Amino acid sequence: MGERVVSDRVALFGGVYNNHLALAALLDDASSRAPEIFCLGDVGAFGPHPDRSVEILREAGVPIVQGNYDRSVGLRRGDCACGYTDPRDNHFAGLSYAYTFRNTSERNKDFLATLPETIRLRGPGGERILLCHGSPRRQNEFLWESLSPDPFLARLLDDTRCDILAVTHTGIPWKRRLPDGRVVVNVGAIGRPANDGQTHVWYAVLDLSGEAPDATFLPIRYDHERLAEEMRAERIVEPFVKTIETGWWTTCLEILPAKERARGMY
Amino acid sequence: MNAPDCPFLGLDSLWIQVAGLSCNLRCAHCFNASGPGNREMPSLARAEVKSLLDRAEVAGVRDIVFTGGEPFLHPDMAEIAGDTLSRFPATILTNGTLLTKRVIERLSAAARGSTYSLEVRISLDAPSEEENDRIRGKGSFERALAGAVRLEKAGFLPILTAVRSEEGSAPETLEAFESLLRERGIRKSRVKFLPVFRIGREENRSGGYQQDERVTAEMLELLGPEQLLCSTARMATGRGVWVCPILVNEPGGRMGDTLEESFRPFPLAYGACSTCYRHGAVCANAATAVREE
Repeated sequence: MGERVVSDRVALFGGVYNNHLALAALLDDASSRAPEIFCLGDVGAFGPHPDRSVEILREAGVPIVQGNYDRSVGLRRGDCACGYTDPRDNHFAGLSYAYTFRNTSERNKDFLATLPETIRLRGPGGERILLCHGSPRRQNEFLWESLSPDPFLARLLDDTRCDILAVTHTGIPWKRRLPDGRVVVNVGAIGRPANDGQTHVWYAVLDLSGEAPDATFLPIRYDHERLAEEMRAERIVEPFVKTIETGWWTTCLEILPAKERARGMY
Repeated sequence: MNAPDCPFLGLDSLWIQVAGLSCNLRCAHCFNASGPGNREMPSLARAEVKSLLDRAEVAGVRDIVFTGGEPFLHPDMAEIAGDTLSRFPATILTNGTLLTKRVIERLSAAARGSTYSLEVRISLDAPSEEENDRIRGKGSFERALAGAVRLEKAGFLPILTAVRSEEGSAPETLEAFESLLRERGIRKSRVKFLPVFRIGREENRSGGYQQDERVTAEMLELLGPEQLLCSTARMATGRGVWVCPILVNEPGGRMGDTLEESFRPFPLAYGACSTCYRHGAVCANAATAVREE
């Protein structure tokens, strides 16, 4: 398959987690900043009404990389395959997966099953760009800033022959420029706040216009109170709603490395 | 029976047995029989560790794990952690009893300014003093908890690791550990369970492995080798490089003098490999659930 050539600005977001209100706000914001927009996967999870987000994405024609959630829902698997390693994390992951699975239409499940695991792009200067969900080698591998040293990232880039790698999956944005100029960016998630006590969510715009590629993180403010109301009306468990209202993660904390855990409230 | 080979897929984690098998405790279940006066393995000098880090960097390593014996018996452990954290994430597996105020000050200085996480895992085997000290030795419970509290005060988030007894990973045990930590003022309580390896001193206690407790080719295919520690990790010691931190007392576990020589497949011929297969070698709590399905 040929690589798609993109212009010098590319909007990238991931981790929609059923947050259709943030998704709509994001598409609005991003379309004014970049001619091309890509989703890095996990359309479902903590939030309400999963079909709404899938349909917004389909209507907008946004290309989507398949996340572990999308794959599990699409293939009618029993769990989200999030890659958690602790029973407490898996307990809450199971709750959000059961809700999302139950409320996704058969047609949308089929759609999620067809998504590609990676998308390759070519920048205006010939930059080889790889979009994936977790890491290039595993859909559900967590690439945390504090657990991703330069030599390890360089190995991932070497193994997949790319100059710019964009991922999501962890929910906290970060970027790194390697000594040789190659770039790794974790675009964060638009479905829930970044465990920073703020209610807005984050996405990234890749800037390929300068001498070296760079990424800018942009906040999306949306009607989070309305989302919280919808979640309660759907009887989604209170800890998930609290995160939307406060910006602090309340669940799935055991997977966090020490640095990222230390910055949060819980 | 032919043991299946676990392929080597690349170096994610380099384990370093920084203090040899010397330990100030003599726990009843210790899989590598560490203890006071164990001179089986020499410790590594700070310069030797630096040279290992250089080689690991070439291999594109993701993180470095320090183990022993007891790493804090090494006089330069804090500075070695600093050398590491300027380049990689690091984990130190400790019994927590030597974490004095002075050691923690040095560790704080070493970790300051690093982009990367330092995980300190403190072993405690039961949420009660009596039960813990029966396994780990008199006084170890209070001393380890004091170490954890000092770490917390210095801004670290220690992870308590407990060896899973038959009923040891039950939700009640987890809750008991968490409330113990909260009582001591540790707000972000992090607790992990480890599997029991029936080797080392534990072999005497529980009788070791049966001949048929082995990983077969079919089993390996079912799980996928990338789930096993030995597909992406190696263990450097003062006597060469071993396949993993578990098989250090097995001559067959030694893979060469240098890291590079150890980057090859390993036959899963040992009873302990079956524990790793079922439970994961390192605190991978839920991988367990997947494997037991």
